[in-house]
Amino acid sequence: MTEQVIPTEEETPADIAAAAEAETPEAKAPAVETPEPKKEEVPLVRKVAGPPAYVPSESRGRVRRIGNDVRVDQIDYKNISLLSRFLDPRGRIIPRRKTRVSAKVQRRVVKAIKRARHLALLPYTAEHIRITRKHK
Amino acid sequence: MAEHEAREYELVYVIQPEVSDQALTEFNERMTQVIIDQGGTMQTTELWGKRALAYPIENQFQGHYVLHRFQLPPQGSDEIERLLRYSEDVLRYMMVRADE
Repeated sequence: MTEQVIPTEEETPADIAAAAEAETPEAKAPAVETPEPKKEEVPLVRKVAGPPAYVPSESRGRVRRIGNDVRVDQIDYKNISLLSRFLDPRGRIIPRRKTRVSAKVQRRVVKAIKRARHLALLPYTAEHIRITRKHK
Repeated sequence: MAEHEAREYELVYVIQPEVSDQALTEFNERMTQVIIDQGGTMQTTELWGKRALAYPIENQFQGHYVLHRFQLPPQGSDEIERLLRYSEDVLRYMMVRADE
């Protein structure tokens, strides 16, 4: 079930995308037959690892500086490893009172978490964590 | 009708895990065709493969994830959403603007 390789914490989807980009140099190969190398019609379909699976945080007690290194452009609903830091072990969003990030960052993180939850990339409730853990 | 500028979208959908790879490819191609028919231009398609869901949807614990990036005039989004809504194999979908 979890044969999928979970990338390291630092590996954001952007990194994965960049890595995948590097693997497909044939897209830039010049067309031999056609005199004018026109813009490619066929979209580039590729297999990508996708965001890492959600792992509930086990940390207990007060956590400080959850997202002090978070840049706004990193916040994305696909960046599960980053968003997971803003969830407590029960899957709840940690309030700004505790995360200590700026209002701008917190707002965007919350929105990204909600988008990820809709796509079942993150759980909504502790019940979800319990069920999926039991299923494994 | 005034022609609106094309916007950049990201579309992710989750397909039933029992769906075969071939049917999945066919569905992706159909989506791509609809996007192009609506005046869009495809950028990339990413297949994330079969992933564990964070919670069960329709009693399924896994799903095939597919991401499309494309440019599309905003009036084309209704047709794409309609197709996704009426496809029974689609567990979840989300289309968001990527240029905001």
